Amino acid sequence: MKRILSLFCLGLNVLLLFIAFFNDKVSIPSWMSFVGRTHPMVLHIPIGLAIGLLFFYFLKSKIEKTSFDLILENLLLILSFFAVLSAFAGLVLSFENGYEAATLQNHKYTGVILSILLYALYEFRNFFFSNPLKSKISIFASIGLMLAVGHLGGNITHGEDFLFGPKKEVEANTVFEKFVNSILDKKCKSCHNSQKAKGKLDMSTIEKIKIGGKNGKLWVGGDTLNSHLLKRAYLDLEDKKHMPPKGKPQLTEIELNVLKNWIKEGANYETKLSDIKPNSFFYTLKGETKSENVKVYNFSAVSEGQLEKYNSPFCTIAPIASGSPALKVNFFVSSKFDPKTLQDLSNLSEQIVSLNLSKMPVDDGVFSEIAKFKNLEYLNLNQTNITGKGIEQLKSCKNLEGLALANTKLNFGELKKVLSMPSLKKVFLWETHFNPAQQAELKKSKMDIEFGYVPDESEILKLNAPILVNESSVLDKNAKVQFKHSLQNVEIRYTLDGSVPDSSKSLIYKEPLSIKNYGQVSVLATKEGWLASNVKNYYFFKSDIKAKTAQLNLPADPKYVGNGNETLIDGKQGDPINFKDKNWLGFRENNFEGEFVFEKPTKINGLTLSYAEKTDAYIMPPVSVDIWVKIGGKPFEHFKKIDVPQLTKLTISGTKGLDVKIDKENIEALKIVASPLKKLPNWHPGKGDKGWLFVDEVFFY
Amino acid sequence: MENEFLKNRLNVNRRHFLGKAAVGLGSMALGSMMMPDLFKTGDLASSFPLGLPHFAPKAKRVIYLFQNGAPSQLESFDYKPMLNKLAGQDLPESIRNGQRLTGMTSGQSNFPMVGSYFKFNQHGKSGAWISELFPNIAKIADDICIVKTMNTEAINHDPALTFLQTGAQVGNRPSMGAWMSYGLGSENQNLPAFCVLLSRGRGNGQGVYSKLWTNGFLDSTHQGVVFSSGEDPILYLNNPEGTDKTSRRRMLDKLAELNHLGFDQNADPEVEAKIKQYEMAYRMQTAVPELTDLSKEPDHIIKMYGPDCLVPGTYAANALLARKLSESGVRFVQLYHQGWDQHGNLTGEMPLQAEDVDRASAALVTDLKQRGLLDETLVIWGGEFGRTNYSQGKFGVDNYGRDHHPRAYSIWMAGGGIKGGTVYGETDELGYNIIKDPVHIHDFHATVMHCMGLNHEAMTYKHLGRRYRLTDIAGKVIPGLLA
Repeated sequence: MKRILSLFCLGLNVLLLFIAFFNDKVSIPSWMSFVGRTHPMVLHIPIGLAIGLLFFYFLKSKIEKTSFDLILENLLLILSFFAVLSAFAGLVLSFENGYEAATLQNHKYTGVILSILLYALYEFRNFFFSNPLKSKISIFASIGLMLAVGHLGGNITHGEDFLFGPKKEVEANTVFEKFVNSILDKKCKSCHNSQKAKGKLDMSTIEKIKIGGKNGKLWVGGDTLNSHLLKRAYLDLEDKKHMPPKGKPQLTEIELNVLKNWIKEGANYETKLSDIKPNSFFYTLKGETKSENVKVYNFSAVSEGQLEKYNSPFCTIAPIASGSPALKVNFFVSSKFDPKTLQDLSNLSEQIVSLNLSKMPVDDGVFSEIAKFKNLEYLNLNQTNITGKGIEQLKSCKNLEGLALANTKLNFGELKKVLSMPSLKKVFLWETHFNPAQQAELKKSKMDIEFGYVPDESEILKLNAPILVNESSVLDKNAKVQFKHSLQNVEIRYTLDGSVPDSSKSLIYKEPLSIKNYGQVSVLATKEGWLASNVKNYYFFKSDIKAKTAQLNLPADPKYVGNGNETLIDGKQGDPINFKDKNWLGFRENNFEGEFVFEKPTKINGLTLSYAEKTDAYIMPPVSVDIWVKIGGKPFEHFKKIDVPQLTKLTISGTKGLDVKIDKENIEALKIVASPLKKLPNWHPGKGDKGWLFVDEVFFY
Repeated sequence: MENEFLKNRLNVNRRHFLGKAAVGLGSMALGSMMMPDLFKTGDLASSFPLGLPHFAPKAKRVIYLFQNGAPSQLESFDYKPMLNKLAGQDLPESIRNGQRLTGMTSGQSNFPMVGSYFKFNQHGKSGAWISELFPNIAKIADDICIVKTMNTEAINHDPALTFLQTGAQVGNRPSMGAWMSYGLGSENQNLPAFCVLLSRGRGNGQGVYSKLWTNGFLDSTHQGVVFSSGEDPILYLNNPEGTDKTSRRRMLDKLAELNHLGFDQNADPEVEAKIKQYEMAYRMQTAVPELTDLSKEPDHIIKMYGPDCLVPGTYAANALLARKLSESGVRFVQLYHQGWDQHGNLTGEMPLQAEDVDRASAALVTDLKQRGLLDETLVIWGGEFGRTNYSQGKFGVDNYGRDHHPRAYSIWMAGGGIKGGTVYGETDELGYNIIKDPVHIHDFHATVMHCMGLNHEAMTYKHLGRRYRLTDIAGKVIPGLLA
């Protein structure tokens, strides 16, 4: 076995030498190409074995001599076998296209030499390993040669400067370099470089990329459909022409998008990052770059861990953007303000560009602290206790652009000391109470001065309407109607008869109002120096007597069945905006027909049918209401028919009541029949259509 | 969130895990040898850390003044005198061009065009046309950018609102505010990063639902916190009687211990979210009273925002509160003002709606500006779609209604990163179709994110096997809106 193997090695080495010298006279059969492609795999085996040999040799003293010699012999044989196999495969591979470079030649010959050397090592091991010095020299020499061969091979696949070249982080300043070339680097250049220009395509330099490969140019600016690169990239993965080939790292969705859009936008190699138009695909992508549009900071960043130390719920410090060394600082919650926190920040004096101390309890002493932040651009001291003493110290902040001093007791003279700062662009001085002359003087300065809103004394505003205190418009027995107003010294005037209240003649509201039965309360508010408010109409429902049961004789529309019969006597009204509210019962095809039974024969003064009015949703008042009463165990007797006044135009929606006087004793039960509008009137957008009737409650008193 | 659950399941049985891993690791190693990129996500998203803008932002915070129900662009910011001339004439089919209709006008036999009942005037240096219903917004014309060419895909309120707020018509995605909270984190840890304030106008209203401020598949810490419209914007902030600060603190510490025990057992990230929320609620006990305190503000803010600003639950009060929240570092404040759905009685209802919001909206912008905060706060005003140029139902020059119109509508933006004093985009003479510079909802989202320093394509969240974005798979930044 050993013999066969050693003969095989010898034979193959001879063949190797032959092919290497007469390579232009040899042609490799196509089936051999498979052998060639095993090269990248097989080549690693001799490397491993050679290192193994080294370790084994150092264990020499620990191993019995005969065993050592035996193992050494076998090891060398196997090493030689795989070395020659690998070299042979490599040689076959070198016949494939695309490897026409000097590196290849060097790799080839050194590889052949290595293989022969290793065979010699085996064959003449008795000579080479006769003494320790010779042994060491032979082992290190073969490993050294192997490294050299390996490196040359690596250069072919990974590119010349893969190992020693500078890491490719050249400050890319064109769209091509930054976005496109970086993708080519990652996904194309392993096969399309100066050493290994598959398809005659070499992407190593821009000039070569412009030339293209054997199929012509890579792309046509602006024409995505006829750009060869895109065609190949978008082919089906299974297609032989798909690029990158199956099994190689594929282009991601985003990379494809980048390539496509770069070509779509003209495939311009020169476009600078700073020239990207906002409508370009690359406009948002470039955010992560440091192009000229984005301010570049030269100071060093503070590590995240460092920042962590300064952060608290009441003082947050964060970079202004991802990857930026510049910091913005915000203080929150004045009662938790700790002056020491601000002092500690002087460790970050270089990095802080934005500082917000608004509403914090700081006074003029703060300026000396702030002056340490020499790169500060924006400072907010709104609503603090400063008066401006010492403000001139801010002059050491040479980049200060925005200064917010609104709502402070700022002294005019002090302020003037910083206005000469050349960097200052905007100053915010709302509520600083400078007199008109001072304001005029400030307006003359070159920067933007913002005085903000100044109330116009001549402008008379309309007052807001009184606010109803009651939470519900249903009034129990003794409940009263109560109003208030959000401003001081406001007079509330009201009417109870449905008429529009007058701002000077109507009753003045002094104390909560008692309401006897269902009724409208109209209110408005007046105050000196203000226009009277809008009139607000409220409708109140009086509920003194509760019916024991209620029952619908005809079902409500299936879409609006509320909570069933209970809905009518649960004391809850529906939401006048949301008719899906379970407090509403809706009727369109059927009449509303409800029967109400009382605990015992009761005196009823009146009842109020509470219904919705929402004209644009076709929800109208009932056309007529019939009341039937049951007294003394007799059947229901018709008591009254009321024709309800109909609307004549679209109205604002709301809940209304239909109040009916009953004034009868010993009522056992009541029946109410109300019919929805059969045909909407001519003025209505849905004229001729059926109207809706929505009922939420019937109140008795 | 799925990752945490997976991690836990793996931890549950270590031997089982290691057994599996031996085989798994081997094949992973093989895989990585064959495909070096196997374990490299390699996409844009992974190159940005969470919690920081991707690039230096113009805006740090957003206040979104949502006009819920869809205010008519034809009575606010898109002046179309031609409609007054052609009033009553049928809208030509060539203009409508197959636009689907809502169930409310699909039965209508003709579509009588109708012009604005309200007068328009030019304002500001840009000469923007603004209707007389918004006299105060007209005064800040030089600070705002009116976008006349917003367009959406939805034609009914709920899908349109959901689309605008979450980037999808189906309501399971995170809301804009939740995305911002996720992507940029909280500036002020004493307040929620995403706050929601509700108010109701006097016009025909449409509901708002919690899905509009949902965290979707993001952690629940990113959910919008709805403030109460009562006297106390945040309920139950005070310690109950008999509990002082120390015992509250001790109670929370013990509770956190128990929660950590629970977390160790089930690794449910919601437990950690809960712990964080309790802690924030504790800090809010100090932060909120300071926030709502008006005593340090000059009296004339009442005149500035209008006297309603003292009445809790009104739009004006919410606008003032929004300024205070934003000033205190709340990343995203979302207002909803209901009542803008004028299918009928537009001439009656719209003045009331406008009266509610006009002064306070303008005051908010001015107030931010005078405090030096407008440059870093993005204010957005607008609804979910527009309204038709023809009348719904019976036509009258002074009494008409308008149906939903998704093809073109107007909003305005102001502040951080937005080019103030401009009008962007053009609609045709009849105000029906866009003729120049459309801004789709996805584009709007991309632009807002851009102002916030976020690359809308890079901020993703992996859920159910795919990466989601606020802009879904579309959207481009609109440079014409940017300063």
